[in-house]
Amino acid sequence: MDKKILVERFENLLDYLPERIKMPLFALNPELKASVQEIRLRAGRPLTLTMSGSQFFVCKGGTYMLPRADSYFVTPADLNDCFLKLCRHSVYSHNGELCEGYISLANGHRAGVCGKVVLRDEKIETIRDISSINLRIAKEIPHCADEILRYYNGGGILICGGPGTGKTTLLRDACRQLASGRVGNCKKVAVVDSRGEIAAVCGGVPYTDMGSTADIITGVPKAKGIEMALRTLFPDVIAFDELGDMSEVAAVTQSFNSGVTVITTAHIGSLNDIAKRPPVSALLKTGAIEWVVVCRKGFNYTVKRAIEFDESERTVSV
Amino acid sequence: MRLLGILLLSLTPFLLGLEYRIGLKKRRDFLRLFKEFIIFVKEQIRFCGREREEIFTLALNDPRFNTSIFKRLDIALKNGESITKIFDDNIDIRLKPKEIYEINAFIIDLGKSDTEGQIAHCDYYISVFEQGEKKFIEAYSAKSKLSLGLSLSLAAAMFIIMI
Repeated sequence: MDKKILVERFENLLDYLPERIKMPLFALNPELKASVQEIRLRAGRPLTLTMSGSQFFVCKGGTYMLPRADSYFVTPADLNDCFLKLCRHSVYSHNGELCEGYISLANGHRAGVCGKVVLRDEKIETIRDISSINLRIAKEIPHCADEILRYYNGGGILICGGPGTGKTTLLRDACRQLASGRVGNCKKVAVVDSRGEIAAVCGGVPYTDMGSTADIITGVPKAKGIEMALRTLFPDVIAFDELGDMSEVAAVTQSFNSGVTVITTAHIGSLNDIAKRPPVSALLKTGAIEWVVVCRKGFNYTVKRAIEFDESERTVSV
Repeated sequence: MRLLGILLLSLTPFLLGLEYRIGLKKRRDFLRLFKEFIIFVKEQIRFCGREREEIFTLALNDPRFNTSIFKRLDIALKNGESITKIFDDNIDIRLKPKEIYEINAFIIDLGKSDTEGQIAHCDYYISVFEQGEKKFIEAYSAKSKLSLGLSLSLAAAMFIIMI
């Protein structure tokens, strides 16, 4: 992604921060700004930035890997101010998202929110007394899924990897390319975006490029969303993030039996861990998945055939 | 000319009394309108979940709330300015300090909690303004009649003395 765009995205996020915290971040050099993945605010603790998967503390002298005496500390009042800005002074209108632990922001960014969970009838009613906020900068990497889609011939794709390895970024680009006519004709891609992480829809508008023929369903459990997509959208492809439980596997089986391709992701470290995740091994047994992509840190990934796990693989660095 | 001058001087207390009555009426009407505004806000929160800024923009499209005070409130909220200053500076509607405090308290806490909390917040201030309205109506009718009577009497007295 263009460095100027990354810096702009970082600076857009600063509008949600109190002035005291905003100023030192605004003063960072452009190279640092472009490499920031997250801004983390924790009550009573130093302000940190996540860059290349590591934590850096923001101090008066710059950014360091360990906290120092001159670190900028975040106060509860700063958190409260930031939280109200994130909610645009309308906490009630973000209650659904807060119950899932996040707030969707304009420009595709997301804020993860931690605090005291209020339960009612064993269901999360709201979060209050915010203790930390994680501002995650939305990044698209166009064409990162090129190598995966070279193998695409209508078969399903499972993208696996640990946290922060780029699974959602790959999924997003795969959807974009399929819905943009970069792989044959434009495909009707139904994206079941339960947590708003794929398309970053805010006010009905996706803030990431999902292609011309993508339909996005948000805020619904994935299994239900897949069912809705099958019945009402008549898709060529259904895409969703993070395969969770057997109900989703059942929904995928139904899609496969209806002739719809599925692209999804799963949290697993390597192919050897598949047996430890019953939904993943059950998914592979359905025959709905033709290609498995294993992602590693540093945005490296390997593409393997699902059935054979043979030599038909390429290791790609993006 | 002398007669005209005496007439004009005599009318002064009456006009002052009339202005006082009109001021009371404007205050009463504004407080009623603000209570309607709180009801409007409550409905928008309960049934539409609209954000605070959206609610104010929508309110300005409603003929009831399309007034200079609500426009200034909208601008003040967007710019983070003082709400009390709007009413302190307003010479057309002279609210009491307690009334300004209640309006400010309602707006400051608007949007700071979940839906249930916000509806309770609106309900509380609806009842505050309803009680205020009851007391005001009782006082208004008494004060209004008194001011009219006094101003007429004073006008007549001045006329008699000067004539």
